[in-house]
Amino acid sequence: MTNPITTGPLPTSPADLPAPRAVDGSILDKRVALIDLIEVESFREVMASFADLYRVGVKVFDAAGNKLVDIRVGNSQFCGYLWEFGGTRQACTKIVTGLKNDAFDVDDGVEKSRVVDCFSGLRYVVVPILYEGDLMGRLIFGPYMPHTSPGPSEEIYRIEPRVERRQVDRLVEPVRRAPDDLVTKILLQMQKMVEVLVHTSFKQILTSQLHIESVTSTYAELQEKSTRLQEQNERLKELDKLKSNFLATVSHELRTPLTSVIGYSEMLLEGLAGSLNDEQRDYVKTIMDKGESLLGLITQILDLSRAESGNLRLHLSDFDPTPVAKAATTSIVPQATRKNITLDVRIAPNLPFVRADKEKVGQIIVNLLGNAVKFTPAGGRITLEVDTWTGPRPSAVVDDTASPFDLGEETFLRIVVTDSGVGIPADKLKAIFERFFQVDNTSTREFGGTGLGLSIVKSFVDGHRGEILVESVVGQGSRFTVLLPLP
Amino acid sequence: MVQFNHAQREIILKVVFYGPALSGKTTNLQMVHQLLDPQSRGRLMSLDTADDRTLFFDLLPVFFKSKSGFKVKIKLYTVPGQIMHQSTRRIVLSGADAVAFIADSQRAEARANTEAWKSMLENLKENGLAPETLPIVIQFNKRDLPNTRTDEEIEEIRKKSKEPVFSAVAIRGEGVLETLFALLRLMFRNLNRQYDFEGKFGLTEAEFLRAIFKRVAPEHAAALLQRLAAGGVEVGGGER
Repeated sequence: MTNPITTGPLPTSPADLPAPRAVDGSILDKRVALIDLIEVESFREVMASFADLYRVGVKVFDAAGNKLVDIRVGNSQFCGYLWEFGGTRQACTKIVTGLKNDAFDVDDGVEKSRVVDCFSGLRYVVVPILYEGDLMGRLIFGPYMPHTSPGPSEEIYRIEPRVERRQVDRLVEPVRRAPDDLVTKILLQMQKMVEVLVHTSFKQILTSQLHIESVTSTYAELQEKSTRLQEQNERLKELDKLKSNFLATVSHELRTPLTSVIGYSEMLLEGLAGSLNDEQRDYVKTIMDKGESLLGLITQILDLSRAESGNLRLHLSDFDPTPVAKAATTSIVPQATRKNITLDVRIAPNLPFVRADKEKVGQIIVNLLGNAVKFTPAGGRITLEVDTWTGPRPSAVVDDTASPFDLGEETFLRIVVTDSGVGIPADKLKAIFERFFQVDNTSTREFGGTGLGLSIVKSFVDGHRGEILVESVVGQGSRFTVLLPLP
Repeated sequence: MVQFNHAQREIILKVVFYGPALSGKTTNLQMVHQLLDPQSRGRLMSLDTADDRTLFFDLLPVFFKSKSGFKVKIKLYTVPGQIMHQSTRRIVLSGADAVAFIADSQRAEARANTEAWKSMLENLKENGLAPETLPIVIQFNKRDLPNTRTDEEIEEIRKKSKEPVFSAVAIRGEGVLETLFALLRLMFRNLNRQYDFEGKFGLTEAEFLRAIFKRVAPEHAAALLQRLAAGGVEVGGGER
């Protein structure tokens, strides 16, 4: 910072002083006025009771000369009488102006109280209100008649001969006569009280203001961070969408050549290129089988990426769910039979028609059953139940606490698949619907698959505004429940 | 940064006691309050919680009127040490003219000292204050406790440190005024260099220090006045 001062006497104007500290608006750098520190009405009441107790008037001015308190006791008529005459009025004005404005004498850097004698023989004491060495205002105590004084001063009649001695003597009677040492004690007490008031209040102001400043500053910081996070989140979402689109494109591109592989294998098998020996037939059959399971996988990925990029299209129609469930079961029978798993199918009679995507509902059941077969050991048991269920939407029931609101009941088509498989640990229950998730995520895991089956089910169920629930006990089995809303 | 108030012919300075939680910043201020002449200091204001740990800060104003008629007011602040009060620390530190870093001598607190020192440098920079030019002194407090760094270790640190280093047992008042004295002297010299206090405000270093440390308790005064009389005697390690 450059210093604008050259040489010479002490600086007197702002231009002479070094550039002031850039006030950052903190309460710590602000000068607080008396009026901000005391509650004027209550302060007035306290001062009034003081004045009443000692029967002497009190005035309080702040540093800027604003009158905060003005209580007169006893002297009104006396002073009022002297005010009626030109000479005494002039003298009175001079005294009062001085009380309010005259600077204090300073001793060792500290402002000192001042005794002011009125021409009338009455006396005032002016006390500085100091806080941390700052002059916050002044207390004017009086007027009172000093104990040692014989009575009203002769000065009155010298200044204004028209004043009547008899009136003066009568009106001065209610004015308090007080010894100076008592006045000193009273003032000391008042001064202390005011200082405590100012200190207490200053502390409150600092506390609350600084609290606000701290919170404001913290808030600004958090907001900045939150904005940054939001931007990052947006970017991530965008990347995720790009990735889903990429998957969709790639799976589509993979399918085209694969269909050719399968098609030509089929033609070979049918002998369109000449007859094959048994070994050749076996090889070609294997090519075709593996090709088809690869196609199945690619289709799954395509379905899922479509669902994720928001491109899941439902072909809604009204249909009877019974044949759909039966067909789905049939497709899983060979796998179940291979593992010697008992498949128990219970489809309620007279199920109502559902309005849904027939193919996707079928796939939901196939995926759930396939999943069950995969995780159930040989000799186990799988049950498929299809019926209707009426009740509040499970996702609307947030917790166990009773809600005053009716959650509203709906009727659903309920598909329940229960297995006697390995089960899912409680802490993994939420994650099983995530893409590529498997409870055993190690490379040597026992169960194959892409980990897409359940997340496809979930996206299809979500697409139908349905619900999917899972319960499981490790070592005993799992139960998946799908609820599809009925019209 | 010093605040000049031309209307009131007033110079307001800010000194901050910084340091890790529970290192004794408030105790230092309480002792300064106790040891200085009541005429030259105001009330100690502690904005504290029920468990006696500093909530926001403590404030002790020290003031005097120079012979040339300027009112000089030094506001001594402590910052809250707890991590959560980061923004309060920054606000209190803003515009500081000098900083006393109160470190805890206990071995277990070494890390807390380092963290607090780093956060101080960061907060200074964020407030636009250059730690290289700001007067800073370091006080190793709690010298009376067991499991503290040895005197030799403190001596080692003193030799290496750019800032003057003091030892203290603040709770007994030992080393408190010495720390403050050295800091205020560094501050005065720094300000005098920047604003020519001597030439423009008629305020000398001797008057400045005497006005603040006048009438301090005899056992503390002797050492301080000796230092003052000796004039050029250096306190602590380096001199800026």
